[in-house]
Amino acid sequence: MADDHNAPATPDPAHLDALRDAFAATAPEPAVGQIWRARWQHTAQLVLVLRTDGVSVSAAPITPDVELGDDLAVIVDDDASPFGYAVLVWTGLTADLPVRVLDVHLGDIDRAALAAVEGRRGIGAPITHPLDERAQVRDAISDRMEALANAVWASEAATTIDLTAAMKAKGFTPGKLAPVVGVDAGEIMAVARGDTVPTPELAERLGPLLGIEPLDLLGARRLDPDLVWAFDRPSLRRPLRERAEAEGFEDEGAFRYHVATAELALAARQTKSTSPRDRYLGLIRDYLDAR
Amino acid sequence: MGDRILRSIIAGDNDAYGRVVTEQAKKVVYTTNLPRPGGGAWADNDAWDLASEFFTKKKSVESTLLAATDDDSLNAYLYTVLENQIRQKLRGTTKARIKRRLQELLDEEDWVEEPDGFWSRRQDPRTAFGGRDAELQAATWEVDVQLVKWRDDAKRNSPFAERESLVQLLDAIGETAGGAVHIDTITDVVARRFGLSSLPTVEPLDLSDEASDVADPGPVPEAQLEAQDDAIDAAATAVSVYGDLSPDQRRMIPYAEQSVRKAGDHLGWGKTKAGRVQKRLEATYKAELGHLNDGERLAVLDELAELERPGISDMDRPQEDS
Repeated sequence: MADDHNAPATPDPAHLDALRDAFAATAPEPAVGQIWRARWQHTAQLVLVLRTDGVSVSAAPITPDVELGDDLAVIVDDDASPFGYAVLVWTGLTADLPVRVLDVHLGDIDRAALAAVEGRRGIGAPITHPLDERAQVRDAISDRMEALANAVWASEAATTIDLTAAMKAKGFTPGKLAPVVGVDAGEIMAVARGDTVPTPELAERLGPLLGIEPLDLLGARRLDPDLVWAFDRPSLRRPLRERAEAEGFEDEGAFRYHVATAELALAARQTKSTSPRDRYLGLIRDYLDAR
Repeated sequence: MGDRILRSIIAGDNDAYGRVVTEQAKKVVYTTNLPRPGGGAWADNDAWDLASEFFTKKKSVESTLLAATDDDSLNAYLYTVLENQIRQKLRGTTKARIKRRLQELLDEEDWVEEPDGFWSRRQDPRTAFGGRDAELQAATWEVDVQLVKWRDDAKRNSPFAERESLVQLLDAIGETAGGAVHIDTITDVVARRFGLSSLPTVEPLDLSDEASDVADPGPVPEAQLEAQDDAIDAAATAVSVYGDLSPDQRRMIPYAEQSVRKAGDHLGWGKTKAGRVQKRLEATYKAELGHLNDGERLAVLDELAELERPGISDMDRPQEDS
């Protein structure tokens, strides 16, 4: 670093190499002991994965300020930390986060460090006084974990379709509509109750009869959990975000919803995969590769 | 909100990182209310020094990028990190003064220094305390401390109240330790109790300015004290307290007695934030006004309400300590 006050100061590239590599790498599936940058919309927080079932992770937030911990905040020493400096794991603020918020995998801690974290023996005094500055740090972390725990996809133009009212308005009953669209009356009723998502083909047939856009019929219902699972894979996060930007979407959740309902819902593709999850993963990858 | 600059830095543009840090360093130097450590006026070279210091710390360099989600938040976090660098230096200076004062008090209170640097109450063994600092810290948070700040121009000094608080803190530490504690540990623990702990790397906190001296000025002639006791200047006390409040605490002044929900509605805050700030304000009042009688306290609160009255211009507000 030149000691020349006329030139701006610049970072030591060595301080950023590992971080840049992490951002550029393809993210793995979540596993215990991993440290991630979790992020959703404008909230970001480092977390340590303590447990996972592939759909959500039980994660404790991490901060770099080892002197500010409470009685449940455990230090991971610099030789056990992937950053090369000690970090603090706030085990008292552990929360269940959906896998969709995992953004960048930054490294892992070893079993000994993990065992120490799970022992929850913190280094600091309990935070009991409102003027203790650590209270503000803890509260800010807690707020971010809550925001991440509540991360959902949101359609920017979500609509609620009352299918029962729409049928009545057109003079249909489920029994009369069913043979017209080629399904059982029970399936019509299940869609009306919101218990199932109509297939794209059914939406295409129902829509014109009821005066509803097929896409709205699909968009107003819960998405197939296997479809959501596929979209939430950490390995797809960066390519989906890049595609979202290319398509003019600022909100990656809204973009996922758009792709799920507008692009994939009408895909007639059939694959030979063995499970719905694999099928959806294939559809998403094909969509990303197509343009 | 764009993230072009943030993404370019993550993609490898070191010059972009240098430019944005230097920009924020200049902004800090030109807009901060904090005094310049070491004295004197802020100058352009200080911005370069701030930026250079930032880049010596891998923790700061990485943590800022990991916290930011777009260019606006990157700038905001950088401002916080750089300003905290200044705060940390100021706290170091104050802590050094606290250490000197504590050594005087330990001597005055007949503690024993044995071996060098290790202090124990006379009735305690000379063996070193083998527990954790956290135990000593927890004990200090149980002590109600009166934070009357000593100022050259204050019309009311209460040095005994200040001294008494320091002695109570030392007693709490001694009682918990039951043995000898190093003066650096005692200083760290007491400093943290006074809100002089290490600052977080990137977390923006709602803080008052690092201006006031917490040290005890020493005994004041009794006659002078009596005269001062008879003539509390509510306005001067209010100005002193106001200077110690954070921005959010100041905004809460008019609504301190209202329900959390109503206070939040007035301020445009959620219930959680309003509740937290109200608690901090109540605790600050207790610490700084707890030694006053009811009438004196009400007079000061009235003056504080006037200082934060909507519509009062910034020119009429008390300026921060320098």
